[in-house]
Amino acid sequence: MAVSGRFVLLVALGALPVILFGQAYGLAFETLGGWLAFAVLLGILDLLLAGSPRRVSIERDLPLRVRLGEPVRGDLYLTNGGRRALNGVVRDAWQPSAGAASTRFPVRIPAGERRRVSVELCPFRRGERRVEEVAIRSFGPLGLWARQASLVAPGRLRVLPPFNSRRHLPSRLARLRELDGRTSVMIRGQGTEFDSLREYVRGDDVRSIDWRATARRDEVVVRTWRPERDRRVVIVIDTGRTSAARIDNEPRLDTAFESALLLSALASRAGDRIDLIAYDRRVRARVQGTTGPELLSRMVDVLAPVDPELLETDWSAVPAEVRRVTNQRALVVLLTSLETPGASRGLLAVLPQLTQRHTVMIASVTDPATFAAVGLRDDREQTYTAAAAERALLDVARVSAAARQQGAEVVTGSPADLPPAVADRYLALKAAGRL
Amino acid sequence: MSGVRAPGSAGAVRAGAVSSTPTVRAFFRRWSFWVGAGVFVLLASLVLLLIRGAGSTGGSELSTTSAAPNGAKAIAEVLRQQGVTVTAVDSLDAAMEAVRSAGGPRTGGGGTGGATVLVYDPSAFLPIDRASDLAALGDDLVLVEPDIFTLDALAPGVAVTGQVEQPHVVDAGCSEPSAARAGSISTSGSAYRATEAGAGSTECFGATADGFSLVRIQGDGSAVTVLGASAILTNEHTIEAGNAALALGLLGAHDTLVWYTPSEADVTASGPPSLAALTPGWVTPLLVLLAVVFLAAAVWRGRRLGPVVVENLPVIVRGSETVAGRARLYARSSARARALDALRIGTVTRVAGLLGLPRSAALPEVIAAVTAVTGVPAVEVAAVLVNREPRSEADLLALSQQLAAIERRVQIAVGRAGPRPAHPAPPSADPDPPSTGLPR
Repeated sequence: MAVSGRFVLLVALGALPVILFGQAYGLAFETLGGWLAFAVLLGILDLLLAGSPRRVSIERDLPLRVRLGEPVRGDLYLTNGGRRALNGVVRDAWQPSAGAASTRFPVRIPAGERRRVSVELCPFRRGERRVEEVAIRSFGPLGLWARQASLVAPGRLRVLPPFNSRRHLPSRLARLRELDGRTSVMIRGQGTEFDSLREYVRGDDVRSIDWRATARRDEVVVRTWRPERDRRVVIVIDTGRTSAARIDNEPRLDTAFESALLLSALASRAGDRIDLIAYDRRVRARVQGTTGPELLSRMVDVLAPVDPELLETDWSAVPAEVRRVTNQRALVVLLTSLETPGASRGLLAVLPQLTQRHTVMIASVTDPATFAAVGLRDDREQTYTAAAAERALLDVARVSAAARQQGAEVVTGSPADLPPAVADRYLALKAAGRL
Repeated sequence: MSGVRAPGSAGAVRAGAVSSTPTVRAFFRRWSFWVGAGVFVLLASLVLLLIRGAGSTGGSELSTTSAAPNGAKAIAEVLRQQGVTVTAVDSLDAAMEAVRSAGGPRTGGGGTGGATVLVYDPSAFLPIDRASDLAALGDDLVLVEPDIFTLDALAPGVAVTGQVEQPHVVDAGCSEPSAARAGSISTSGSAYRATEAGAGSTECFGATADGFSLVRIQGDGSAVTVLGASAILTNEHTIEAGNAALALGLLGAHDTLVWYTPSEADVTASGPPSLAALTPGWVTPLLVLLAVVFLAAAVWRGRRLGPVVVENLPVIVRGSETVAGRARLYARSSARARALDALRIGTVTRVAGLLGLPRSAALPEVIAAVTAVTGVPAVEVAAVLVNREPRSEADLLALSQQLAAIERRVQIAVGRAGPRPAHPAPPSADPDPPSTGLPR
């Protein structure tokens, strides 16, 4: 049950008769009692004549997925199954981060008819956005008192990572095609994998002449090479506590997702097989054995509900997880953070196990604010901040050096730069035949 | 609008099937125990109140309806059983009305008509200024422990002599018939004596050396009895000695007994009218109405449309917090040497990178290279890069700015100067660390 402002006004209007009758006949208390009884009686009458909110049936029409930052419309079809018209307010109780422009809608549904209510959503947080209930407040014909009920009408909307770094994809794909020898000038492909034998033409690198094949034939024969294909790429995303830190108002984890998506898009075009694990103390998400165009959509879908956990990542189990994915030599990309020697000890301890079998790339986000702070030295506070920033950079340099010493590739960059940097390093490794 | 529509998401919810708000019936079924318990507690306390209240009705002293030890229900009931009409009144007007309805004063002297009027006024409410009305009260007055003002008004021939220190039993010692019949009473309260010794006055029960518990003044056709021992009328003490006999003798002389205990109703107001008297009668109801409006408005604005939606929000940790925290630690403890150390190492690393020196280059090599490139004397460069100690905050500031200046001069000299501040660029994808620190 609920009352309206109209009812409050009705009660307040009782002041007039109370004063009039009180002044004229001294019947103030009697008038007060009478007026209140009158108002409550009207309210009860109104309540009895209101359409039942429980007799409303609800259907939802909602998209399954939406990219973060894109608006989406959720439709709600309300059918009045009662005998009286329903006149009131409907609230679609979405979670706040679903970004509903408005959740309350006035409705008027005659008995037995159906009306649509559209909720404009613009989610501002990745993951699963839910709605559980629809609350209906049904006023009587006088609009004084209302019946109210919450109806269970669950719905969910999966908000996918935005993949903003896809704008870097075309340029990287062009570079990949150059590597592949499929450019318009048709220069022989660079690469390390044996492709075929063909007749020598002037201009070919004499070092690529295959003397054994030349001896079997009359003409000089050269080997051609192409970039390696069908290599394995294993992406490990660290979802531990350090991934929760926001840099440039973007959590490290989201930057890691961007990097992983760009790298996967690129590597799948290059013919490599990509597997992905999101891990802290247990596997939070896993994409394995998916190829082709399905890979990316599956990846965003699996990663969407993954949030940073406030746990220290257990690096000691990571080599086993990688081994479970593949026994072959692979490129293992660790998307984590290299910050201080203390925080990276666990990672550095297991790094040799990984570098022994695989090529390892560590990608870490750096804070552009730290670099900016180093140059500002106008007053005491700024000087100390510059010193602290300098110290933080030293720490990063030390940890990076330690990782390199153990044979890992280290890529760092600001949130905007890291995804293309990871892609570039992948291309460089591919060109060098180190996959 | 993007995304895929869910094929199965349009599942119809049947009419009235699922509602998380309980119906009124369900609500009562669920909360029946507590509703029942509440009603029970309410009823129980009501019953208890009634029972307890009945036991202590009229807790005031010498009330004809009080069964408490200090009440006078026993005497009143016995008198009623003997055919005396006992009327308890609490105002002078009511007392006069009662006397008038009993046949009026001065109709019989000691006969069966007329009325006995008992006046008990411990709170001094008796309106002494209404002398004529008081005089009309009756021809058989019994004043129970009167004060001197009451005595002045109603029994001018009697004076107070003092208090009875120790309750004790005394004999009548007089010829007054009701006193003689009683024989002895347990005396207490106040003692009185007649000031004008004469035929009309009788003094009985000598409670103190010069005072008596009972003084009776017989006028022409009217009699005033002053009873000092009020305790003989109470339920507690009336059974002792001849108390009851005296009380019944005094009060049962006429068919009607008016039991007059003056109250606030006898007090006439004087002075300017109070604020309450000046405000119109509708002000209080209006305030009540406003309170109801407030309540209704609170319900109107406070009633939620459905339950609050909960959502787990992620923690927000800013990445620069460690740097800011460390900077504040440095500043608070004035760790100048440590701060300058960090700045120097950073500058040296970047300058060495700019000058193309290997990572393993020793500091003297770097200093020499800087001097060679910029022309700044080696001593000065060494002082800024290593030797000078920061003795004050101003020193630290100056040194840090000199470090920045050296770095900038090297950048200019090498021809890789950026726009302005000597921001080291992120090391990003460069495989070798000495190449940190260049704006591109």
